[in-house]
Parts: sequence; structure tokens; C-alpha cells
Amino acid sequence: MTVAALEKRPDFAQAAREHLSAVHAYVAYLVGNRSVAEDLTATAFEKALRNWSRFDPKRASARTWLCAIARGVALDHFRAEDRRRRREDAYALRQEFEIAEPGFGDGLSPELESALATLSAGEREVIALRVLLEWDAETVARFLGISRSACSMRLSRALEKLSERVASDVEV
Amino acid sequence: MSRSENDNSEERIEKTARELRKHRPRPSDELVSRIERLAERGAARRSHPARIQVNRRKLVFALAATLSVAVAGGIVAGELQSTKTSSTSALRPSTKITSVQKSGAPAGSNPSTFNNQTSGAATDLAQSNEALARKSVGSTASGADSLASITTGNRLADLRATLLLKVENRDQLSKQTARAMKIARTFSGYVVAAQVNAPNHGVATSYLQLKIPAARSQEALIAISSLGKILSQEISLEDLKVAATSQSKQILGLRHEITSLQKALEDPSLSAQARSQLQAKLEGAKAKLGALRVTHQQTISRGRLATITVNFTTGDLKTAPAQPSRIHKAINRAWDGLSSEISWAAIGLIVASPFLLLAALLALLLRYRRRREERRLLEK
Repeated sequence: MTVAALEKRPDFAQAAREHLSAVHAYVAYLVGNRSVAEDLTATAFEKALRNWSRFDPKRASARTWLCAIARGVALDHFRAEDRRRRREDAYALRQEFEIAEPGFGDGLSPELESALATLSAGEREVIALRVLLEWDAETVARFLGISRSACSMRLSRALEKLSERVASDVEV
Repeated sequence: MSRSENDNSEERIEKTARELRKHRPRPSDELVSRIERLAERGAARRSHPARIQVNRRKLVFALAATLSVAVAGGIVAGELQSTKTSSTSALRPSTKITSVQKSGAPAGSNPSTFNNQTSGAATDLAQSNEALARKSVGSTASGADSLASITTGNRLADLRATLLLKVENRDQLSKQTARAMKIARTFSGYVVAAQVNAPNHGVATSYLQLKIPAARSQEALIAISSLGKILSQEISLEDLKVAATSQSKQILGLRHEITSLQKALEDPSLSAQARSQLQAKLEGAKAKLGALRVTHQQTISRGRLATITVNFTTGDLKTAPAQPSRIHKAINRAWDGLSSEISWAAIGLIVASPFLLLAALLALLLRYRRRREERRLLEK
């Protein structure tokens, strides 16, 4: 890393304060549970602090880097949950902990909240990145490791599904 | 779907997106304070030096440096190799020594070799061997003078000479080959091997291996060298006196030992065990004496007869390539070193390639599995 690049690099405190809201929103949409999202966001920032020396602003922005760490943390959480479910299935003691506190944002209509809950994590993820964080399609495609057209397709399908479910809930 | 339905759908999606943006999840105060604490920790760490990461420019520099080191290594390796070769050749006794023993005195235990190539010393074909020999001494000064000086003298020495002589045509080749054989017989020698290769077109050659008594080898050499134009000559002289004397001493010592052992065995008071031990010793000494006698005999016969190899040809010697300059030599050595490095690297790559391939396949498999698992987890 050159001296100029080091000088340009934001410090962790500045990056954490600046991007906390975005990272939290992304994690909240990904896991669909407020308290879990808070824990995972905190874990992600701790991990980011530990690995801050590895951050290279030439390769990605601080926000993308933090979101990538948060994604890894969330996937680890999913894996752990998956193992837990399988273990508990074996002993027939499964409990739906994640239903306890769904939350995608204060003030969201109950129809939209429940419609979001029915979407898969992958669909919610692309909505969070494209709609909430307002990333461009190129960045999101690179972030998710898919093609740009696949990303656009995933987003339009997710939004369509969401609006259909909201509309059907309202009609009911 | 009609256009109005389409518009409605797009509007609905836009409305949903707006609502989602408006009610974006906000971090709780507790989370904000946790992150603040982390930020403070991060600020305290700011003074620590950032971890240096390898970027592309550094990689290019590293590659260039590696290449330079490889080239320098090649040069050094080439230099070392050449030094090693020259030192080895200096130490090896069988290697040809280019210095000429001018005095004619024996060269001690080391063999002396005289190697000379000449193209300008032309010799006329004379009628008699004696006349030819006299002419040769005058006309081929560098060749015949040295032949005169390389002699065994009175000491026992193994003389080996190889001459390459040029003759005008195939007829001359047969004639001179026959004359060389005649010269060998004249000097009480004999022909060990003879071979004539005279095709209708191209270069005709003949090969002769002669054994001449050492005492007359000098005269024979001069006579033979006058049969054509000397293209090259190689004469080696290995002193055998030291070896023969040492063998004689060993034989004498063994004889004494055998005599004393035989006397000891005549003693009737000897125990059976001691007798059998002495008997075994005696047998060993006798066997050793027999072998040593054979070797001694071979040494003496080597010294008595000189080996002269004569090659006649109708063609010319290929001109020797020009001596390369220092820069050329350095480049050649560097290239040799570099090519040896490349060959080692290629060997390493060939050996490692199956493992590398397996590792790459494993990495791809792991990546594919991870991606698949991620997709499965996110589809829930």
C-alpha cells in the first residue's frame, strides 16, 4: 500500500460511525430479526476492528468491506442455526426462536412486514442492497458474486413478489 | 398483461420501495453505544502501523527482482562450474597436459602429453624412408623436433603417439599406409590393427595401430610422420620406472616373506592352529606374488613397446572455431547457469504439477460447495 493510499484511508472510528446504519439495515433485512441483527452487527464491527489493517480502500469502499464482513457473520449465523435445527430435529425439540421478534424497520405497515418475512434471505438481501442502501447494480452483482443481469432479475422478482403479497394481504 | 396493469405494478413496486426506504431499520441506542466503544478502541489503535499489503506494483517489482536474482545466480553458477571444471581437469592425471617436455628427460610418475596441430608443414613424398625422415626433420620443425625430444631415453616409459597425416589422394593413401606398415616391421615392430576406408567419392581414410620397440620409437615416429602432411599429432609419455621399481621391491619383499614363512613352517614344535594360520598366510603371499609378477611383466612390456597410431586422410581438418571473447564466454556461462535453473524449475514443476492440479481442483470444489451452501442458506 502506498503512503498516499494510507493517508487516504479512513480510520476505523470514522468508518464505523458513518456506516453503522447501513450495515445494520443490511443485516436486519438479511436475518429478519431485530435483536439477532443487533448482535450480528456488533460482531461484524468487532471483526472489522480486528481486521482493519487488511482493509484496502483501492479494492472496495469501507461500506462494501464492512457489509462483506457482516455478510460472512450472517452466513455463519445461518450455518449455526441450520446445525441447531438439525440437532433439535433429531431430538424433536425444535423451537421457532426467530419468530419471536421480527423487525425490518419501525413504522413499516404490518402487511409489508409480514410480506418481507415470507421472502427468502437472498431476496431480502438484494432488496436491502439495491433499495435501502441504494447501491448500483454493478456493485451489488460484484458483492454477491453473480452477474449483473442475474442481480437485476433477482431484485425485480423479489420486489414483485413483495408487492403482490402486500396487495393480497391488503385485499384479504 | 395490459399496459395499465403494467403501470400499476410498477407504481406498486415503486411505492413499496419508497416505504421500505422511509422505514429503514435504525440501530438501537445500545448498539450505537457498543459501536462507539469499538470506535474509541479503533481510534486508540490508529497510531499502530498499518499492515503492509502486497499490491500489483510490488508484485511486478518482486518478479523483476526474482528474475534478476535468477540471472545473477546463473552467471555465478556458470562461473563456479567453469572454475570447478578447470580445477578438476588440472588435478586429473589422465588429462592431456599441453606443456612439452623439452629436455627429453623422464617426466616422473605423471604422464606427459604433447599435442600439436599443424597445417603448414608440408612434406614431399620421398623415395626411401631414411631420406624422408631426414627431410621431415627439416621441413616440419615444430612436429619433428618435438618428436625427437619426446623419447623414453634409458628409462622405462609408456610412449603413445597418435598422428593424423594428410595424403594427396586415394592411391597415395594406400601406398603410404603400406609404407607405414613396412616402417613398423623395419624397426622390429608389428601391426596391431589396420583399417582402410577408401570410397569412390569423398574423403578416404586409413587407420593403423603399430607397436614399435621403445628404443627405436623415435626413429620410427620421424619416419612415419614424413609419410604425409601432419595435420595433428599427440604424444603422451608415462614414466613406468617408478612403478616398476616399486613392484620389484614388493616382489622382493614377498619372496622374503615366503621364505621366512616356509622356514617357520619347518618348525616341528608348532601347534596345529598356528601351523594352519601360517599356511594360510603363505598361500596368500604366494597368490599376491603371482599377481604382482603378472602386473610387473605387463608394466615392463608396456615400457618396451611404444604404441603408435597413424591415421591417413585425404581430407582437411575442420578449421577450429574462433576463440570466443570474454563477454561471449560470460554470456554462455550465464546462459548455461540459467538453463540449468530453468531445467530444475521445470523438473520441480513437473513433479509438483499433479499436486498443484489436485490442490486447484480441491479449491474449486470447496468454493463450489461453499457457494452452494450459501445459496441454500439464503434461500430459506
